[in-house]
Amino acid sequence: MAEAGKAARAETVLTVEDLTVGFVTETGAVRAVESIGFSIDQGKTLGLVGESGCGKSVTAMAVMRLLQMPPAFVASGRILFDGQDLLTLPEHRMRSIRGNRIGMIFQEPMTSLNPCFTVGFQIGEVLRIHRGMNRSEARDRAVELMEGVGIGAAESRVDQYPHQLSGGLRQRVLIAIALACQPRLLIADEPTTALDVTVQAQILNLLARLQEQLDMSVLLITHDLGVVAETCDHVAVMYAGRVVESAPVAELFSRPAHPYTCGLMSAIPQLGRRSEYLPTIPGVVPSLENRSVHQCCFAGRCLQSQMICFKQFPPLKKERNNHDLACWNPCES
Amino acid sequence: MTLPAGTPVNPDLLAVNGLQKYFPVKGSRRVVHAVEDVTFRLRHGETLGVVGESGCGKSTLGRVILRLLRPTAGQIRLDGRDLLGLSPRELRMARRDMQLIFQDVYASLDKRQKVGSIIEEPLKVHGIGNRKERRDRGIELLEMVGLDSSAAALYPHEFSGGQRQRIGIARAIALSPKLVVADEPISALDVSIQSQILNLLVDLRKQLGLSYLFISHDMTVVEHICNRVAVMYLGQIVETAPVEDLYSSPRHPYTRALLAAIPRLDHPGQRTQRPLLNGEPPNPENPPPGCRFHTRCPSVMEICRNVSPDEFSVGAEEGFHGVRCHLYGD
Repeated sequence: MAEAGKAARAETVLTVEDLTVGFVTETGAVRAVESIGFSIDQGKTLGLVGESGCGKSVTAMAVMRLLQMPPAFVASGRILFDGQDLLTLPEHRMRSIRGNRIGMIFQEPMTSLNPCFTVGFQIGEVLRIHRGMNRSEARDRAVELMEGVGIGAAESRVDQYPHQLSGGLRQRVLIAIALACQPRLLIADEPTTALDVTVQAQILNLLARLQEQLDMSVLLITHDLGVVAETCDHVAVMYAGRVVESAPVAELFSRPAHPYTCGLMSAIPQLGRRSEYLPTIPGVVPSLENRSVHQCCFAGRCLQSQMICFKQFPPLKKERNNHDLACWNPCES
Repeated sequence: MTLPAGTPVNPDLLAVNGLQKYFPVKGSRRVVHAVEDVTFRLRHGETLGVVGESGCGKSTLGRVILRLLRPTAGQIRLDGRDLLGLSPRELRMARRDMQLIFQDVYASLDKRQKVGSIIEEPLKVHGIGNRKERRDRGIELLEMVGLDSSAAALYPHEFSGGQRQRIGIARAIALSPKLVVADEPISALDVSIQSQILNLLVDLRKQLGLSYLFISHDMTVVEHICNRVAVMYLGQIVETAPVEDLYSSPRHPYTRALLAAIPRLDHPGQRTQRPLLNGEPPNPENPPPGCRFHTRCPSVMEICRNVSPDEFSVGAEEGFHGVRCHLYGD
């Protein structure tokens, strides 16, 4: 799109460079994320797409420094948030960023809320910790925030417990918690996956509206290409711990180049395009223990792999139109 | 569609009439109206999609039809036989003709049993064949669902999610059923694996002449695999039509909203703020009076608040297109 071209030097909020995250297991160290990089400009949304086990949630947890180390370890890389490397910050400084300048929403709205406290208390907790509000100030602000995320009858709901709310309302409460301190960056890990489609559409609309109001950047983690197409500015496709392709959203959908991206796009049934059989991607994602750094991680499932694909990992290279690609033999588009 | 040879004259494999299932709520006199007055037909070789959001009663409907739950009222006929009037012995025989594929297949596989014995179990239960014949049939079934025969000697945990679903499918087709109820068979799987399983289901339908009741929340998957669709809302079928008809001219406001809510790939980067349904489905313990959808309906009229709409037929070129909505009444 045109905006990608001129890119009026929008301020970059988050830059991840050469990040490698691994876990120590009984049988040795495995790497869940291998030398990945991306950046998000102010007010923009980056979609991190991939199937389970591709490393997208580990990436989010690493940015928030929520991985328990050990067993997790960061083997290389920097995570620059407003120019500051989060990986080198002492824990108390990280704590003042978490939930304050970086908000996070998780997939499971039931398990992310504490069943023993009212939702008002849990929204207010963020404000008491980061904004030094007292109990009643925090409660009043919680009511406002609940109204802001479209919870009707907020004045009475503020004193309810999570189990008294529906899935959609719980997800709204989580959004209210994440946005209570008006963060610069929101990390949303599969925020609508557990919700029904009509509720998902409501939540996506709500997130888009709030993002604009707060001029907030969003790191959206999802496996749903439809959600990506509708909400993201830029997309990074992950496979087996690597970013294999990344591009502005319109570019990616009109000219997907990595065989994995192409395969995913054709394997999804789409409205109005019926066919008896769907194209498939043969095989399964290689397990963490079976990933070689000396070959393309997708080569074994790829329909157009060549000799080189099994000998050398293709580096992520910049192509035209701000399109990055790690592939020796991309698909024609 | 051509019907397999030997198809009986009666074109309906499954006929469900006025089916109702209420669950009592423990410690109170309330009841959950899970399935309310559901009527439909499923023809031989056809796939009927049952779509709706969580809690709409679609899984309960599937389980009632399989007689895993006893309906509160209504009739179910499978291949002309009344499933509710059978003796326990006859019901046991009838179960050969109807099987279930689960969403959470791993939970449905005994972790301490080898795959071969899991697949042979239905044969054993129904006393079919001797040990050797059952083993041969097990191998044959594994190959039919695209697994290697060596899988028989392994345990379920040694397989990936997609392979486990194949095991579940092999078990479901072991007795050569006529009807397979597939309850969200692919929603727990990764995108690249989903299409493999969908293709397998299509293959088996053709090879074995199966009929599917395909329960799903995903409108795009249903469009892909089904011949007919029934849209459920709060226990009722609100619209039913041949798939082409339903997707090209949806009539019920709820069907329209469901279709509009699907994130689309066609215009990436464009943020469309679409007209949305407000709120969430009401509690089935206490369904609203009149039309059950009226609390969220964008086209609500006065009559909808008080009078429950009948199913009206709206002209479809081929096949019945029914809508339970006052907009289409006389």
